[in-house]
Amino acid sequence: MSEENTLLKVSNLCTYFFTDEGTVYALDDVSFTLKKGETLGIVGESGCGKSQMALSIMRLVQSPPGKTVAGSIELDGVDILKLSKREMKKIRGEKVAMIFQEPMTSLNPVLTIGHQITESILIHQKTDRKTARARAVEMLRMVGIPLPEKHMREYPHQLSGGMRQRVMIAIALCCNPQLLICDEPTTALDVTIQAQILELINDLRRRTGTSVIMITHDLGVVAQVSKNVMIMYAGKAMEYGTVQQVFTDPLHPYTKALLASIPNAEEDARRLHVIEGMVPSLAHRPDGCLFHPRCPECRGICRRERPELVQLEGGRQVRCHKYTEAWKEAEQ
Amino acid sequence: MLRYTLKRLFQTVIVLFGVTLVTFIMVNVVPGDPAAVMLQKKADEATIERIRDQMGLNDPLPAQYLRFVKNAVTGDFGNSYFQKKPVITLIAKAFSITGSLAVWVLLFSVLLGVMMGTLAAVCHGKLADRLIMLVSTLGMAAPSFWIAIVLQLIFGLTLKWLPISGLRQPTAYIMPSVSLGLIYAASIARLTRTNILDAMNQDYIRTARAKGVGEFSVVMKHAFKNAAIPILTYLGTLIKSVLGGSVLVETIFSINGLGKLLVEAIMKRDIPIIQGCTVYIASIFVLCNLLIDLVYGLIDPRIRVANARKE
Repeated sequence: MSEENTLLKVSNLCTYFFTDEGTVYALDDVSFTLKKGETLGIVGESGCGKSQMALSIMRLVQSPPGKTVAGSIELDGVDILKLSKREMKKIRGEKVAMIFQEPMTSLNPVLTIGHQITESILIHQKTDRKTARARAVEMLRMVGIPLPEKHMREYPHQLSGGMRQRVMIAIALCCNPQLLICDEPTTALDVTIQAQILELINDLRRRTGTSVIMITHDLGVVAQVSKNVMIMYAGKAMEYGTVQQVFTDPLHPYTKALLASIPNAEEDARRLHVIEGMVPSLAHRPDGCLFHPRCPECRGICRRERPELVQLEGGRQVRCHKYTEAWKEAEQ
Repeated sequence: MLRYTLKRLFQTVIVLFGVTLVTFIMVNVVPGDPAAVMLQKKADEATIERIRDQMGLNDPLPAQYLRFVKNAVTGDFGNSYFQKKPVITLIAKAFSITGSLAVWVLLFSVLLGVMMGTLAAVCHGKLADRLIMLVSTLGMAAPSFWIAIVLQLIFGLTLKWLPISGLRQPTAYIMPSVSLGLIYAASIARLTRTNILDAMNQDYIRTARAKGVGEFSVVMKHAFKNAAIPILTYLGTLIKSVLGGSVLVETIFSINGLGKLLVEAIMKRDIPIIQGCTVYIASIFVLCNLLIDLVYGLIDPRIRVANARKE
């Protein structure tokens, strides 16, 4: 990985929530890098820390009780965790933009679409209202909204879910951000609209050279848009590699189980494959490997020791004892 | 929007007719002969009967009602039995006093309430928030006449900063406005706080922050505009009750407002004034409701559409 090509370098990021019931380890020692113009998919079940990852990068974790306690997030070589509130405000919307899961509630119901787009432009660029409006219309056209001038004067409730998500994308991209974080951007939309939105994000990424972090629980989405993928479980990165590597040759038992639980049209299965057990509570995590209570290949060492991330050839990473020296001697 | 406005106006007229009918019936079923009351039991039967004829009290009730409505539409509620002046003149005079006081009450309570409520919401859970909430609880619990007397004692008698009664100087408005407005300010503060906190937890606030919008603008533009609707509803109730006049506070400060006019009329059975005041207060209520509904549409675009669809 050549250093000058790296846009985002997240190292050992820890975001904890300090609640009455104890510390919740939403993100625990997560690291990854993202090159310019690339897409990284982050996959995991509900409550595995995906969304907190996005909010941590934006420094918008609900605080209290949440707090990013350790690690660094280097954007273009600058650790944004060390920036002042005022400097961070400039990063948000201008360098890093975000699209949220719920297009229905993510737009302010009492402000016009036009207002909500131009607002962002006026904050980050030194232009007058007229230029900002022209730019907003151009953005709406770019995200495929017909009759953009008309929709500028409309309110969010007058648009459908898919259209609103397009507006969100327009807001996110209006200042040409270097990084676009999409937190489950298609979960609330129906399947045909999903495909259109993913296509749009992909297309805009190619045209603008923006890097994208695509957070989703849907492996299909990742396969469609990203180059690399990180599988998360209970606040930790379990496996990292290219989509090709991870999907054709999954290493971690959790990844294998995830892939197996995708319904297959060719297989005549009476029942859907599920992963036994439940995602552990992030406040009361099991000892050893976080996945061991549900792991079919669990051995003694898995119950005792937290596995480290193992670096494999081809840039792949996996957090599993199976790929260490200790595995061979480990008792069943 | 125009059709909706016209429709609401039409409904308003119907409600007002209902009000005149109810007022008329009430006044007629309550025992007591207006003519006898007017002559204060000094006259003999024949005189009373003559006056009853003159006043049209011997006509059939429907005829009396029609006359009452016909006159009421032109603003004529007859003459006061005791003050011997047209009721409409008396109401207009009292209204100009109550109305000017109401403006100050409104300004005071809205400014203080919204400011304190917003401050409490921004400092949620901190000392300032708790302090404001404590004071607002006290403000809601304290009756306005008690506050009025305490203010009179402190600022009028002891410190001699403000005049104790009447409304002759501009400074005389301060104490009545504060004693009437404090309870409203307290309610508005609580309402503002709750609604801003509620709005601050919404997804669109996170979106605004993610856009790089400053915290001030997040609260004052994105959250406040959404929180404004319940506050507006309350404002309607506030305007209505303030314009109706307050007997206690008006009496304490010797202000000849509507509350005092109405209660004195009831005491003396001055029926034309009672009828006039009732119709006036009812009109204020109905018109305020209409106005609030129309302003809603301006603030919340979703209501505008819902109204358009209903037609």
